[in-house]
Amino acid sequence: MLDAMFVVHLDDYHGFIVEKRYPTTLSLNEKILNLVYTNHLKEGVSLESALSLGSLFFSRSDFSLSIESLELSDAEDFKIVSLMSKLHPEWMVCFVIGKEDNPETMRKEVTGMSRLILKLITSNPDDVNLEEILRNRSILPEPTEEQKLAEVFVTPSTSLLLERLQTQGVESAVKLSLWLKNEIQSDTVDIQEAVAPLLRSGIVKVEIIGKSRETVFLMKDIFCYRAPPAESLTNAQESHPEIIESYTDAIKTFFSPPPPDKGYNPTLPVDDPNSPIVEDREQIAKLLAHSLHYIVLECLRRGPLSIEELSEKTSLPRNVVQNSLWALESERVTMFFETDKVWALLTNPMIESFLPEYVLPLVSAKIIDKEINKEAATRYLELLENAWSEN
Amino acid sequence: MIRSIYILEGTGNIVFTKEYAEIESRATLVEFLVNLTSFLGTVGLEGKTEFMNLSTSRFFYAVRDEFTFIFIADKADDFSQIEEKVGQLVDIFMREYIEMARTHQSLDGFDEKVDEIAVTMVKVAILGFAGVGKTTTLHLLRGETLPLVHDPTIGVSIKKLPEEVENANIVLWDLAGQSRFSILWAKMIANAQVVVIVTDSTLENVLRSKKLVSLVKEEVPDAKIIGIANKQDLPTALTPERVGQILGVGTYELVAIDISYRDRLIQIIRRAILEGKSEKKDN
Ligand SMILES: Nc1nc2c(ncn2[C@@H]2O[C@H](COP(=O)(O)OP(=O)(O)OP(=O)(O)O)[C@@H](O)[C@H]2O)c(=O)[nH]1
Ligand SMILES: [Mg+2]
Repeated sequence: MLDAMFVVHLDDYHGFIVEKRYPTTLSLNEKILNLVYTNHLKEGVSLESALSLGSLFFSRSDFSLSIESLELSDAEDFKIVSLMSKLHPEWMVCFVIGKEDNPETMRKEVTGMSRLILKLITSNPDDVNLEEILRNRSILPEPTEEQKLAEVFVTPSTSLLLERLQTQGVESAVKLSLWLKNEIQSDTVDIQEAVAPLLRSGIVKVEIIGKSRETVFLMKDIFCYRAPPAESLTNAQESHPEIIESYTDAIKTFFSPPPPDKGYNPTLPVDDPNSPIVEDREQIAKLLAHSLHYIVLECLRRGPLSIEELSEKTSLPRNVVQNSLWALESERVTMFFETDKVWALLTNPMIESFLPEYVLPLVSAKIIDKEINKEAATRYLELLENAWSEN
Repeated sequence: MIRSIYILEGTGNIVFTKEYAEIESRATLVEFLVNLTSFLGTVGLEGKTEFMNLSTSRFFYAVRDEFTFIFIADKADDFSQIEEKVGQLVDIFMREYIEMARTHQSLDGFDEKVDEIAVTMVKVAILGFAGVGKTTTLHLLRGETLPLVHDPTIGVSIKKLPEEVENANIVLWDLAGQSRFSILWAKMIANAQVVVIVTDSTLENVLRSKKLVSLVKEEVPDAKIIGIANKQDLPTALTPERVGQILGVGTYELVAIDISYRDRLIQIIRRAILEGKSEKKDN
């Protein structure tokens, strides 16, 4: 039974603050909060100390790629399941469960609800209504493949690593981390955290080659672009025939306006890293990586919807949906039709991965320069083949 | 804490001054402020609040119209806390006092408003291994009845010091010393301005506590560290001088179960806050 919950913020001055609780009569004390929090840290610190012992960067079994950790605590008379996320390390979402409950069976619900609460509370605490979330079992689902790819662009040091690997294909972990430190002129960069989004999305793979040479391989490259919202337009013909004309016009103007305007063409080669199309790719990726915007976007891919419909389908509060729609609108992803009071996609942000065939000549050059050995090169080819062969 | 606040006109004329802590070489400081003001007038900050670090202080400054606002705080202060206060003061000044300042009238009531804004939180963390007397020290500082049994702290216990030190509200973080809570220490001392390391003055415990000094230096390099040689009433106690030598930080004697130590200890903490980290090490 999940029937009581609370959200805790750890403030550097005031300590643990219970920011939200349901029911409001739920009584907690400092000791409970301390025990739950301590439980979460246990894993984290043993990990850090383990890492500081060895020279390996990424392939230690105890280096956890997961962003969220779930803990079970017995504190005073309570049995509490709690979640902490690396994305918001100063927050904790806690559920009071029954003495007989098996927390494993609640894992998915608890994680999904916590993810939603953390996202909402860190953007606007007023949006969080625990009772409603609990009643509707509203959740934020696990990130999709698309979102995992997009996450690379959220952390600047991560996208830097990707850029570096695009020019290297393969590189030793030690060298890569030295390069990154030098690039951002900082010793404090957390290389594990920087590389984690690349590992989670399968963009890179790390293996130990030879005795102990930890090597990073680029397995996929990614491409972000805006596609015309074809499915949405087709479905709009049935569902909202009144808007079809202006909807079609808007899309046409964006993608293929009458000359001399050029319209949107993502495949034009760009050499200038400051070119608007490069910036646009990053914007698109950031929208995809934003979990609230993403679920709103996902719904709209199938066709135009009103705010009420969106709010129902996503089980997100209306004002949250509204904020996402505005954010998407300002990036020219969504548009609003006054006549039908519906929102629709103007452009459909996409992110796709592809085989980075351009690395092969780079790798040959590296063998000649004795930067990598044959063993590493052969293994690289094998890995690419495994990753990209049809199964 | 916020040590002082100045408002200058572009001409270098000082319109408002408020000093909460003693200023060492005032003439040099004023000269610097005047130069800074004229420099800022030429670069233009466009409404932003910027800062620079000078030894252990951090100078925050903002420019609006012909006025420059300068706050001197500690490097160990939480950055956003001070930045927010600069914003508040600038807003009030621009809304209610700018005309008076322009016509060089007295700024009636401004002083009180500044005092309200300039109150900051200062975090003092109490660190040490289990049973050395941290919680007892906390109770002593708060003037509460002293518990005579060891009731181990769970995690952290956070309490205010009843007295303000100048314009600072002191929050005391009494950390649990048991080893199962050691994973909390690094996180819990974040943003502390002063860290009090309590030992029970036994050789074994003092030697172990050296590790805590390193931890603090690593995690909060701007914090001031105070060593405490507690349980001086026990025959096994090393002298405070000896404890200080081993720890490598200024160390003071204490009998936390003896209420007569209270005022002395408050003075020590008060001095640590006012003098900040720059103070030379004296055992
Ligand atoms: N003789 C003597 N006993 C003291 C002194 N200070 C504290 N004690 C005793 O030491 C015991 C432990 O004190 P606490 O203050 O609870 O210890 P702590 O450092 O908070 O311990 P943890 O919370 O477990 O980390 C208590 O029994 C105190 O009465 C002192 O100066 N002299
Ligand atoms: Mg204690």
